[in-house]
Amino acid sequence: MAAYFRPTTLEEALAVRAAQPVTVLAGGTDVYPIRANKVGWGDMHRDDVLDISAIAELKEIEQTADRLRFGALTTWSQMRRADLPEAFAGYQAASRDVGGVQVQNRGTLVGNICTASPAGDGIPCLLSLDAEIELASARGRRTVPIQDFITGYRQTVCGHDELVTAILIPRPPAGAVGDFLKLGARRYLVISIAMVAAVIAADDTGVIHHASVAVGACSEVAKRLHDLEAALLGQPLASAPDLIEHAHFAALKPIGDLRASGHYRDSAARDLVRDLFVRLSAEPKRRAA
Amino acid sequence: MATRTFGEPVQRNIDDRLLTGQGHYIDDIDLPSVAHAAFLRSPFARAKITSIDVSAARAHPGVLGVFTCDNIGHIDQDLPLLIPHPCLVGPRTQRPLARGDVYYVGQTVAMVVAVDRYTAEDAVRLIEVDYDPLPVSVELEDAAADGANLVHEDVAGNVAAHFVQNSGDAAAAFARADHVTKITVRVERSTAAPMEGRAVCARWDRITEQLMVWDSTQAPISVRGGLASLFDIDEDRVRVVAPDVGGGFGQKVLFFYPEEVLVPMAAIQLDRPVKWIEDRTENFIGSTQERTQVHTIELAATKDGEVLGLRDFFLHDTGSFIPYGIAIAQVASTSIAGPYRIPNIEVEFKAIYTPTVPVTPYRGCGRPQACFAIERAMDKLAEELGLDRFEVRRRNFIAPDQFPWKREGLLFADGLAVCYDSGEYDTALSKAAEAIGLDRLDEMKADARARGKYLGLGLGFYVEGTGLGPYEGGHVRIHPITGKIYVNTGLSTQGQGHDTVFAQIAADQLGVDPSDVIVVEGDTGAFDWGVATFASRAAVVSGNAIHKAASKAREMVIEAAANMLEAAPGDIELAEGKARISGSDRAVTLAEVATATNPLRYAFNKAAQSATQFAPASKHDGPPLADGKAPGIEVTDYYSPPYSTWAYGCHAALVEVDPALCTVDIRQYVCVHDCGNMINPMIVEGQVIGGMAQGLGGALYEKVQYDQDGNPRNAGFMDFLMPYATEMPKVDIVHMETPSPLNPLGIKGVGEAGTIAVPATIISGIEDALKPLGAGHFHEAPVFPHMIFEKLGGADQAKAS
Amino acid sequence: MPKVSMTVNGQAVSADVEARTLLVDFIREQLRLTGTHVGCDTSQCGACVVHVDGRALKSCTTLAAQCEGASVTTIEGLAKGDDLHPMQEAFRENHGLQCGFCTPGMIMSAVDMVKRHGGKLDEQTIRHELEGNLCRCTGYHNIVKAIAAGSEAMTSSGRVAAE
Repeated sequence: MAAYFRPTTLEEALAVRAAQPVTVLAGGTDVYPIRANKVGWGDMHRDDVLDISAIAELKEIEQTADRLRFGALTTWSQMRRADLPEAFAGYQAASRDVGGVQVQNRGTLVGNICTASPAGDGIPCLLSLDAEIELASARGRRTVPIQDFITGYRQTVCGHDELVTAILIPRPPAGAVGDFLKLGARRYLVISIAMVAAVIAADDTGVIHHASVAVGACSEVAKRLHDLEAALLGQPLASAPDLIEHAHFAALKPIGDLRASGHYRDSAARDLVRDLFVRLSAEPKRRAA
Repeated sequence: MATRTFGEPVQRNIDDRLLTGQGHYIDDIDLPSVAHAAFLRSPFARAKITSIDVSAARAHPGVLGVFTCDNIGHIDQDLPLLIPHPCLVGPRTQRPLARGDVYYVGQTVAMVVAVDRYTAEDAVRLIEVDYDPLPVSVELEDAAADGANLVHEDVAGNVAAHFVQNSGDAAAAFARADHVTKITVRVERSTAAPMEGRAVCARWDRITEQLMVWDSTQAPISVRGGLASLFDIDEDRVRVVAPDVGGGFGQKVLFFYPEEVLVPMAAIQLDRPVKWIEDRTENFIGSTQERTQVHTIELAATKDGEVLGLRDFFLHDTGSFIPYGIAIAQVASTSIAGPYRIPNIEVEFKAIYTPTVPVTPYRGCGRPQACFAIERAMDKLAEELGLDRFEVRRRNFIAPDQFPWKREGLLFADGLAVCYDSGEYDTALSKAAEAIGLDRLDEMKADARARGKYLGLGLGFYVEGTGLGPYEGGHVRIHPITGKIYVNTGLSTQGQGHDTVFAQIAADQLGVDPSDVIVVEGDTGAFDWGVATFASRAAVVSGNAIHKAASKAREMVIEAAANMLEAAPGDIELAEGKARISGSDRAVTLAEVATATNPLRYAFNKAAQSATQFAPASKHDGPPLADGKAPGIEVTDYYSPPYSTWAYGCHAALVEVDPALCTVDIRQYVCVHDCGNMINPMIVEGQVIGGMAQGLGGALYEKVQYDQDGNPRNAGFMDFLMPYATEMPKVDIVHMETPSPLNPLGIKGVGEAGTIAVPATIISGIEDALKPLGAGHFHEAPVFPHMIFEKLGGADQAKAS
Repeated sequence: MPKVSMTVNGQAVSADVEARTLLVDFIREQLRLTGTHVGCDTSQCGACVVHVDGRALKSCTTLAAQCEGASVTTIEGLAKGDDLHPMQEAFRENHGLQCGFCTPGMIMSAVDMVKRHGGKLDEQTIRHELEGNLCRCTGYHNIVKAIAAGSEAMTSSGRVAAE
């Protein structure tokens, strides 16, 4: 019979984590569906459960002058409602589209990255925001850039004695605006065919001085499009949709699966990026209006 | 005169219970010491079982019984072939638990019964089975090809059935035609996915030797008969109840599923109630599915577009077993000519085994495939002849004065020649054109183009043979104490609102409010003659039986009331629960009539006391109960349709496609339908729109996918995408009511109507939208975005660049 | 086995449960409140939606033990005696249900939706907010109509903030 631990402090949780193999449970919105798909009805042979949902210190969103810190229990609903800089608009849009309200009320941002699905909605957003992941163990704390945190299909660098404690995001440059688009075979509660997130900042004359663009579901791990970002720098924001070239997407390796063919994914990713740039370049006008 | 409720949107009687969480679905039934069953299911599409070791499972704490084919006695036999047919060349049905071979992923291999479901599932995982996997041909065309891997070693070519039917002389028609149009269409596999899965709960009472079974079935009487015969128990000692059932759509009509036999068997053997509740994964791998067919259809036409002849050859995927015989393929092949005269028809099909979940009817039952084939062929014919799509249809419609229209030689699923009873097809088409705004189509297309989108017109016309026989019964009784009307019939409900429409039918005859009619169906303890709920037949067949019984009850009430009030029967009217002399306030209540017609010697309630102040209810000499008479007001009658009634309708849609992302947006959807006289338009609309949502799934979202080894790839709601509220377009419904001449109420069935034409409509809209881009024809259903991408040459462009 | 205590529909309850017991099983099996249904096991269908501390969630992906000390409302806790909640009444009047299996979850989601938006809802909002609830019978039209009517009734009867 599996044991169940529900500590109220991080210290206790890390002690449990170090002592035995456990399934870490926060909102449960990924852990349980995956279990149902595989075996259903729980499984007596499975790991013990470490439920971290009662650890108060993991629940906070903190904003300081140079960064924002999202505790490991921050839910999609908290993200959606939080008062955040405009660069987070994409991440907040993604939060609105994840799994439906009842799932958003339970599911956590950190759970999404620990599941490390190629189609995890939050991951391209975090890439576009240059996020770092904070991990803790009895040995101490460390931070890892998001692109290094996820190493492959459902694989992360989180050690067997570690817990992710927070997402750290540097305060975005002035004037940065974010956005997110995804394509699924259905409007909601669907594993994405492709998704894109971008954060772009332009100066008063409309010239881009910061650009980060990431694409999810089109490779084993979501990817930044560094060539495209380089091509945008120094260019007028209004021209961004026209600067997209096929070669900018070379980093992507979309596969065909039951949801879509690789070619279609590839093409959809380009169209989504173009649509996103059209929206972002229209943004200042919308704000002015 | 009483207010007639027929045709009124009367609110449903059962809703208060369901709205407050007081429904009683099978998992809600609380039985003391109930044990729970769980099943070990085959992980292989086709394999030989070389050994099964259940010792660890038996030893697991909390386990009460572990069953394989070796310890279930005479239950270890082939389950029945429900509808035999001479064209079945290799009919095979499955055994409750696999013996020696498994034929699909999900087939039941062993059953564990334990103190709770968690323990039963744990013990299932302790059973060790050695399999020797066999090669498989999973896709329909592969399974039908020469040299295919066989599902059943002794069924050559995987051909379960081969059938040819002719009406008129197709060869002669093709010989004299100016033009022949030929297309091949493919419809994919789907599943009913009712929100409540299947469920069975059984209790054996060894003192009274009575077996009580709760089964979420659409056919409780058949289940009762089968269990009585399997367990050799007198039929009267087996009671089967289908309580609240959370949707069925055909999936719950198969008789027998293994679990339906094994759970009662375990309850008897263990002398303890046993329950099994299907989980969602099991519903995807252990409950039947339908739809895969590949049709090659040819139309022989004059240059003016009159279709002289039709040939259709198709393959039908029946999965690993064929318990329903050729029912689905037969319905498809006999519905193929749609609303068109087409006097010369040749239809041929082969039902092919594939190593997948067995196939039985799912809402629509062959009709969506037939509709897709004929409607896409009519569009192609119009295109090839340079004619308008609407005009080609008009030139071929059966005219209102041509009914009954018989297709001699084509036998429908009821074994009778196809014969359409009534319809106004041309009017339906015109109404659809008007409601969709056909005259503004060019304008709307231009508007879409201005937004970077492409808009097309979708069109689909369907006919549906409904209300199949053989018969159903209606039992009507007026309760002597309350005066309430009790109505029973043998079939069962899965949420359609039977109880309300049946109540309306009885209420109209007896002059009461429908809320004073108590309908009990799906309980063999209440009524046990009848067939089942399928083929859009409940309202037509049970409805007319109840109407006939209630009409007779009305005559009995009038006669008794006339005697009691010493008036002429012609002066009696029934209203507000009373029989009254017209134009006076002299009246008796129905409770008093029911009491007075029951010559008891003691009075125990108000009606009994008050009834004595009137004259006797019966004028006769001799003993209190006249010779040949029964006490009270109670009637049982039956209705057996002469042949099926044919409902029909026309759907039209404005479908917009994004040429870059290849997504589809349905801007407007019109459904013109005619199911004869409507008993309750609110319930009819609910049925039509609900059916449409399933049709929408079949057009754009839902496809059960298997890999090349026969493993299901999307056996859950995560990957099998059913429409949410955001997927359903706005729907304008236009009702037409052409009465059926075949039954007293003039009604036709409506349960499946909404589903049939949706794939043909939406997909023809996609094709029309993308014509300017040269995308070609869309002859597959469903259409996913990546298929549009490929039609637009996206894959080629991607390869080239 | 952990001991779990919570308040369900205003009643204090507590029981010893296996750690892997889901909230929905606790509600159905221990408390015999069977109006909350299980339709999918994968958090897609919403038949199991209940309110925990005033928020809608799916009880099929929540452990009972995680709701220690919480206040839970199920479909059984919505009506006041024989008086249906305005949202239940609206579902009845608009034929917003057929088989009734998804209905408790639909109604719990609908009430939560109205409370979050603070009043009357338009069709588009309702459709988008129903993203977590599947129905296989109705095609959703009447559910959307019912929720619109229910939101109006809740607003005019002052029940938006009261719950």
